[in-house]
Amino acid sequence: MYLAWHTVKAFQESDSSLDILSDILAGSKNSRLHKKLVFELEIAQDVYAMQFSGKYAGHFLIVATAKPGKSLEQINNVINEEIEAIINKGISDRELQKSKNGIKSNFIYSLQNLDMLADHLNLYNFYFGKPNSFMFDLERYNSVNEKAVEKAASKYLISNRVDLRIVPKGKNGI
Amino acid sequence: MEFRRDKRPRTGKEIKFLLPDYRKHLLKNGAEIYLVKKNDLPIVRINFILNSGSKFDPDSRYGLSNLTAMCIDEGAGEFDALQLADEFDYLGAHFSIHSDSDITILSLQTLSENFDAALNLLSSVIISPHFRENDFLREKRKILTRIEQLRDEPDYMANSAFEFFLLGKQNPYAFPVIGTSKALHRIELSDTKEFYKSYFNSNNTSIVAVGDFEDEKLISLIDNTLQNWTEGKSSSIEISDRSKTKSKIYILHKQDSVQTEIRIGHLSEKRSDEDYFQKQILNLILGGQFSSRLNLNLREKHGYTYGISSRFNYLKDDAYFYVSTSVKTENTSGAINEILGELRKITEGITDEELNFAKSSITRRFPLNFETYSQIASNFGSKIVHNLPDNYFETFISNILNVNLEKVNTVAAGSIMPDSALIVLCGDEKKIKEQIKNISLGEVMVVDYDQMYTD
Repeated sequence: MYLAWHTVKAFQESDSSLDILSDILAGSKNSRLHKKLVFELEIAQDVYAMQFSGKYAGHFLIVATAKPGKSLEQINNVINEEIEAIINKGISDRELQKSKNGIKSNFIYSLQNLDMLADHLNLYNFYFGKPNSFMFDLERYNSVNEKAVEKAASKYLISNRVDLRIVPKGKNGI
Repeated sequence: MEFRRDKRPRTGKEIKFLLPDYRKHLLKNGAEIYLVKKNDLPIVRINFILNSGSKFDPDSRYGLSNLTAMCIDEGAGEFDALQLADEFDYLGAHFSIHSDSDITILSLQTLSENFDAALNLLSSVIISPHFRENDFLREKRKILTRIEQLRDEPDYMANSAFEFFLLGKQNPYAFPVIGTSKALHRIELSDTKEFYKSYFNSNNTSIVAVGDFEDEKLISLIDNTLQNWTEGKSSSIEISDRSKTKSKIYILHKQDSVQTEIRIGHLSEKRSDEDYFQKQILNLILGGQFSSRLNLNLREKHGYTYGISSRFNYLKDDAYFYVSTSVKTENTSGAINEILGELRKITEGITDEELNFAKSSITRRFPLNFETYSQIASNFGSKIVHNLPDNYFETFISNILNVNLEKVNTVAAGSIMPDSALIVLCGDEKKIKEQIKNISLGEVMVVDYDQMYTD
């Protein structure tokens, strides 16, 4: 199943908070959705979340694959519950710090290849005309706090969304 | 800075490429470590390479090596499975375990500032995995679902059937790393514990560390964190029965498939310094790059496929040569004929021009294999697995440049054998049979993929 929400374009306010939100939801084994759906309930084979941001618009996407015989509706309910929990109860210090540590590490890992470096330069140049924006980019994640993530979730992950389910022929009920 | 677009930039001078410095050291626990210096970024990469691949799976327990590897990081030391993953993630460390037919690799990449803490976690995975029943059952279910998914991927089906029929069921390399569902159902928790005990020991392990560290500090850190690692024996196998391939066609049926996956190949001599470089050059010309003979013929000239490749696949104790592609079903016979034609043609030799192109391509691409920390670690890993000479990388370029036309042509004539090739086709059986009825290449067998591995 694919769930998608309209969000913000690249490098706009909330873009980095939504990246962190996607990481907290499904970016690691112990992330909220992975833990619940894949590990504890074992109803999903996999689950991904990401903020796709472009020059003119962006969307937040959650993708999950049901295990054979398991219900997409149940997966949908768990996803809704977890989003509501973040909106109502917030995220923990550790979740935020873990996400930031991961982003910082991955950022540095990505500087190993020449082609990745070229990608970075090109990306920064394309979006705001300044190829050397490495520190700015790192800082926009570093400055995200708990409140910003909760605010992004409550503002964008609302009921107005796309819900696409791809099921085997003849099995409409799942 | 101003960019001039009106003039074509000139080619620069040949840049001398310097390999990273390294040294070897025998740790107190008996494992050998390669320390490779690289300090352009604050990163450390460390790979633990264990001689415990799926070729060591006991008969009827195919998939045991892989399942064991999947279990060891599902809870270890003071952490349960999720906590352990969370600890690695908290450090921004990438930790992964990968199995193939020869080895199991545990790899860890961290920022230098988090290396000590991450190594501690890694040590607990190696020394004190929990092996709890519920974790074991979950990992096993995951693999069974994956096997179910793979049964639907013609590319995978063709590969695994090709290996199975080429190598034969007496050969441990013939079976998939992930195992078979029948065998997995037989595997119990105690089997994984037993496998762990036999193979996950210090004498069966080599370590490669790449990054920004002081050798002595790193050595004493590893000596300390891994001091309780049990010693054991180093493991190896021998492939005794290498029966000659007979030309034969196997068809794996996939209902209503519009494409045919094609694998054509035969056994080959094990990796040796004698002819390795000649074969690399030969294969690059035949099917190792976009402008290869096979790709120019089947893709550019005939439009049969988006891509086709060939390779000498070197396992530690075995090797084979194969061509791999997929085509629209109605082009199955055309493609087979063209592939076999190219194989026959190359046994007659290559041209000087092709040789020079291949040398230039291989030597100029060589430095790119040492760009990232993980590439360097994995290169040293294959040096260990294949027991290559100490100066292998230092002499690689001159070894390639020293190959002459005569040497390549001798190898071409002796190591490409189109007339004893095994052919595996995965697609719609009826349509394929109609396609190949005029090709006389030996017996045609239709195989039920689900029954293939049953004894």
